Amino acid sequence: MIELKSVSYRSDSLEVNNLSFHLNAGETAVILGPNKSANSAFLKVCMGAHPISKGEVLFDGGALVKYGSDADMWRKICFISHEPALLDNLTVMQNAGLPLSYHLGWSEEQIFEKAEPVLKEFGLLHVARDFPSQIGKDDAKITQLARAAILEPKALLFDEPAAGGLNPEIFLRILGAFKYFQAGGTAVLFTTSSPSLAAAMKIPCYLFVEGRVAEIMEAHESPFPEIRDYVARIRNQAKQQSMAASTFFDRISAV
Amino acid sequence: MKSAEAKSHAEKLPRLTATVSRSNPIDKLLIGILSLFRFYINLLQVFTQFFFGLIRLRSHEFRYTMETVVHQIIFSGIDAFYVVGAIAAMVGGVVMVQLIAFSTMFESEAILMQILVSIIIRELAPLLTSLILIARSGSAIAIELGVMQLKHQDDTLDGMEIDMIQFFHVPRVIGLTFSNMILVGYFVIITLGSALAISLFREGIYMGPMLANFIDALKLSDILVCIIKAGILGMVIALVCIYHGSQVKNSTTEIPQQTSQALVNSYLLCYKFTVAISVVAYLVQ
Repeated sequence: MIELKSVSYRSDSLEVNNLSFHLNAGETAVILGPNKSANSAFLKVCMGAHPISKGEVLFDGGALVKYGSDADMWRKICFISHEPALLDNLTVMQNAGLPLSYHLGWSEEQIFEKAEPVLKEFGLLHVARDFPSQIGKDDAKITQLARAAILEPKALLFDEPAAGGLNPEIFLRILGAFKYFQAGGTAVLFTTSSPSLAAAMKIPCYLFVEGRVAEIMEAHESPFPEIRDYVARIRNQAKQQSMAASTFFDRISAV
Repeated sequence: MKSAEAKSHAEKLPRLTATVSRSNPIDKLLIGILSLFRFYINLLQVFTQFFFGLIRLRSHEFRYTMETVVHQIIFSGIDAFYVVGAIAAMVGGVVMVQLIAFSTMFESEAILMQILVSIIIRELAPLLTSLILIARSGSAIAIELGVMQLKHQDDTLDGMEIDMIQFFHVPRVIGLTFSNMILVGYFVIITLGSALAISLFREGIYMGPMLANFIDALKLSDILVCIIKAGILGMVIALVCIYHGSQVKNSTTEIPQQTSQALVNSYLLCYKFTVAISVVAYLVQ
């Protein structure tokens, strides 16, 4: 589905060389990396929106061409930014249907017909006529997922779902949304800096550290010291969290 | 994605101040002179982006853009009717009172009318409507774009392959260009109406001959200069405000700073363009 072949690129904070990565059709995977590891740039490279200096990015087996030569790329790959950035002057429904009204000239009625079941599925129907300032951040985040779902893309790229905090309710809603995409055969790739989120998802996990990528199960044997160090760090963190949690629960039992 | 391309193009642009030392006084002077031009170069870049954004619009995108243009014209051109009307009525009255006061110096009413047409249609109308446009719509554009930048809404649009320039810049520039032409239309009609009404209070002046003198004084070139000025000034206001709005990067405090700079620079550029167009028009004639 999405394949990066020996890609080199430069983002604000990082220079990445000879990066290779592969995501199959219909697969859901997570990219886990420390904060500020240029995850957004990685996702943008995957969708051909970030310039690369070497290598090639393939989508559906063909070379991912630059914008303009494939007029329908916006329907095939959806990107969701870490900021729940909806347009303030459009309602939730209009925001969700914006690509259809802009690119295809759909009317509000056509958009409503298409979007209604998706908004219902994602628990947004009651806020469909509200503006972004009238809804919460959680609903704004889910609206972005609903916008992607309306387009029925082949791949969904989500940059840091945990940005701005992830309470159990929104976590379950995002999980539900991912299942919706999986059922529709959409490949989902998301990035996070939260090991607990990556662990909770129970899906293939890749580590992305300082421009190096490795599958988590093979990370301890990785030839790259950055990856091995990061694994050791998150393992240590997990141990500390687990100890802290057990102390907390011991106290509760004592009470 | 389109804006990613635009950004990469922008990065390739030569940096004017990169090769000079800031400690050398001559270099400092050079930097100062270049920075004066940098604003105009950036403005030209915004115009170029607008132009290419416009010609790249596909059919459905064009329809969406035109809908936004209509909304922009309703806000900037139609909703401003009362403000423009009130100012136009006062300006017409004041100008006519002054002309009547000095009318003994003129040989005939035809000259009086010629002066009225020149002052109001050629000079005052496009300039004053531009000032109203800056205050009402220019500030709104700079703030709206600043907030969009701050909330990374350009990235969101990018993710949907919606070009920020086509989505936001193009309708604003077209909208303000036509809005200013519409405003000038109101302004001229109300100002001349008010001036003619005031002139009727003077003894021995009759509406019929006054209107005849007015029609004689009005030339096609006056109307053309007025329309061209209005269009260019409307476009300049939109470009300046878009430029300053897009300079907002990190903090909410940048929004009022950039907005005030947008307004001041719009005012200054409107005066400069008014003078330039007037000079060219008189030279051509």
